[in-house]
Amino acid sequence: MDFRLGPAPEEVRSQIRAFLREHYTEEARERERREGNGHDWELFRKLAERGWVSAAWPREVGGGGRDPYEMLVFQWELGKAEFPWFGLLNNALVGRTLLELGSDWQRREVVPRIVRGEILVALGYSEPMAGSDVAAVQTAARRDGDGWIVDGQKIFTTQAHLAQYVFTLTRTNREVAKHKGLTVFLIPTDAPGVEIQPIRTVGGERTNAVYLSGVRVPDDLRVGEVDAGWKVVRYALGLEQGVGFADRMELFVERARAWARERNAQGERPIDDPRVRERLARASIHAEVAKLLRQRVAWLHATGQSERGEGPMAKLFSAEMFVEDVSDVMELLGPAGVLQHGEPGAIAEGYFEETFRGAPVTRIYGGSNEILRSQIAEGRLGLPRTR
Amino acid sequence: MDLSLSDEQRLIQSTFAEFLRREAPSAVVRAAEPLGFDASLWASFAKLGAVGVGVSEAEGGAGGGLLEMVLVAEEVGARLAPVPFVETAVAARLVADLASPQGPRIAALLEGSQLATLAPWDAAATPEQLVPAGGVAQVAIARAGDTVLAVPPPEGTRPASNLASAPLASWRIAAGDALVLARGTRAVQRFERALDEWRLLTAAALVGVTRGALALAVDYATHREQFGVPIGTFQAISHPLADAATWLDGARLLVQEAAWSAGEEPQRFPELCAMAFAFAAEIAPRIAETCLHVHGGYGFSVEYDVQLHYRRARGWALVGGGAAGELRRLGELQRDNLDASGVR
Repeated sequence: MDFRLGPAPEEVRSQIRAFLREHYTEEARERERREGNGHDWELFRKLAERGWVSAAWPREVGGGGRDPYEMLVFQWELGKAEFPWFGLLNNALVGRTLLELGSDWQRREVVPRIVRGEILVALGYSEPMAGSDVAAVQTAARRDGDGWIVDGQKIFTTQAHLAQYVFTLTRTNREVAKHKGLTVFLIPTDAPGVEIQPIRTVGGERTNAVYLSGVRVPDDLRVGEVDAGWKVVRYALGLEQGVGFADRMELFVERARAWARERNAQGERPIDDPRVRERLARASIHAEVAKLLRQRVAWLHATGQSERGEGPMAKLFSAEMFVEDVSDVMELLGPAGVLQHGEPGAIAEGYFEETFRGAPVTRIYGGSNEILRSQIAEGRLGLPRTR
Repeated sequence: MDLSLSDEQRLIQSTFAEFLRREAPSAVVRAAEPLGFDASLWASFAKLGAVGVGVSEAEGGAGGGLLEMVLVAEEVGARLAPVPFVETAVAARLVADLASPQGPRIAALLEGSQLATLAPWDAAATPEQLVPAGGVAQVAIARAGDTVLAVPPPEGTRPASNLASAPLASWRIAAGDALVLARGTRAVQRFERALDEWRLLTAAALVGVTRGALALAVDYATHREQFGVPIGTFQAISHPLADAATWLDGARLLVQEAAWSAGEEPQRFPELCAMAFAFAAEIAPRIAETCLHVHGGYGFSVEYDVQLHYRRARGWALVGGGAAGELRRLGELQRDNLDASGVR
C-alpha cells in the first residue's frame, strides 16, 4: 500500500497554488462574493490557456493526459481556495462528451472553443418537475424542417446567464419509455425565445431559471442520435462523479483551528476548552476519512478498476459530515458567529457564516444523497432496487 | 498511490479468514461465552502464526508489520473469534522491542503457550485497572511512571463478566510482584507506541465486528419479506445500511492509512492511530445497533447472531477508552502538535 499521491500530483499542487497566489486576488474573491457566479471569465481563460479545460482528456484526442491523481489535486486546490471553477468543470464535462458522442462538426467547431475558454457551456438537466428523476424532463423538442423547435423550462441552470450554450436535455418522443425518448441539444443562449431569470441561493451563488419558447435550434446542435439523449447524459454524469467536498472540509478544519487558537479579549483560547478541541478533533477525523474516500475513487480510475459505489460514498460521506461539522462548530462560536463578512468583529471575516449558508446544497446537488444511498445499497450491498 | 494489498498480504488475509470461517463459527463463539476464550481455538490459531504476524523473522515471527496485523485483526473481529489476538500480538512486539533479559520469552509467546497482554493505563496513577485479556493472560506488560514492568496476574484474579464477553479482569498492579523490563524515556516511548498499536488493532477489530454485523443485516434485509416484498426494498431499511457501508469503508481506509504511516510517515502515526480508534469506536456501536434494528424483534433475541456483534462493538471500544475518551486524547494531542509546530 502507498497513501502518497506521488511526485506528479504534488508538482500540480505547487503550480496551482502559485497560480492562485498570483491571480486569485482579494479583489477577485470580493467579486465572486458579490456576484456568486461560480465563474470568472478572466481567471477561467487563464486556466484554459494553461490547458486545464481538457487536462484530463487523453492525449490522443488532444487532451492533457493528466492522470486521476493530478486531476484530484487540481480540483482539490481550487476547491480548497474556494475558487469559482464550476464553469471550467462544466466545460470539461461537455467538451469531453462532445468528443465522444458529438458530431464531426461539433468536434471541429465547438470543442476547440470550449477548450480555449472562448465559450462557456451550462448544464440544462433539471426542470421544475424533474430533479432527481431527471429522465422525467418535459421540455419538448419537435422537428421543424431541417431543425428543431424547443419549448419548456429548465431550472437551477447555473451560469446560463454567462454561457453561450446550454447543454439541454429534451423530450423528443412521448410514445416510448421515458428514458428512450430523450435528446440532447446545445441551445444557444442568444437564440430568440430564450429567457434567463436569476435565482438567488442561500449560499450566495446565483443560479437561473431558463424559459424556452419556440426556440429554433439547427440540427447541427443536436448531440448524439435522436432519442439517445439518455446515453449522452449518462456519459456526462459519469464524468462528474466521486468528487465530494473533502477539500473544503480540509479548509474548514484549518480555519476552525486558526479561530480556536486565537486569544479573545479575556486572553483565553477556545482550543484550551476541551469541548472545543474535541469537536475540532472530530471534524479533523471526518476530513481525513473524506480525503481517503475521495483518493480511493482516483485510485480506482487510475488503475482501471470499475466502481461499486465508491464514487457515491465519497460524495455522501463528505456532504453529510460537512453539514454536521459546520453546524456544530458554528454552535461553538458564540454570538459573533452570526456576523457577516465586512462587519467589524466578524469571526474569521465571516468565513463560518458564509460556509454555514453554503453547506446544505452539498447534500443536494451532484446527485442528492438519497439517490446516492440507493446506488450504494444496490451497487455495493446487492440489495434489491429501492424506492 | 496504491490501495491494493500485496500478494503476501492477501495470502495472510485469506488464510486467517478461511481458518476462522472454519474454526470459529458462531456456535464456537457462543460456547466460549461468557469468558470469551476458547483454549483449543487459541492453540490452533497460535500454531498458524497469529501472535508473530508482526514480529521479525529473526525473533521467530513472520516478519510482517502493522498492515498485516490489522488485516488479521479485522478477520478476528468479523468472526468475533474468542482469541485475544490484539493484546497478544501487540505485547509480543513490545517484548521483542524491549529485548529485556527479564520477563517473558518471545518464543513462548509466539507458540501460544504463554499469553501476554498490556495493562493500558499508567499503574503509577491507576494501579487498579481492567486489563484486556487479563482473565486469561499469564503476564501483562505494564507501565508505572518511567518503568516498564512484566506483571503476573494478582492472587485470586478472576475474569469479570462483561458486556462484550471479553476475557477482562481487574488487576491491581503492584511493582513488588513485577519484573522490571526497562526504565527511562525510551522505555516509556516504546510502551506508549505499543498502546498506539493496541488502539489501532482494536480499531481494526471493530471494523471487522461492524463488517460482520452489516453482512448479517444485508442478508436479513434481502430475505425477510413484509408487505409482500423483501424489506431491503424499503429505503427506511436500505439507506441506513448504505450509510453503514460508507462509514465502514472510511474506517477501514483510516485504519490502513494509520498502519501504513508507521513506516512511511511516522510523525503522523500517533495521531492517525487516535483518529482511527476514535472513529471506529464511534461508528461500530452505532452501526451494530442499526444492524440489530433491521432484524426487528428477532434481532433483540439472544438466538440471532447480530446481538453478539452489538455487545462487542460497544464493549471492545469502551475497554480502549471509548470514542469520547479517545477524542479527548486526540484533541490534546492535536493542540499540542499545533502549538509545538509554531504554525499560527
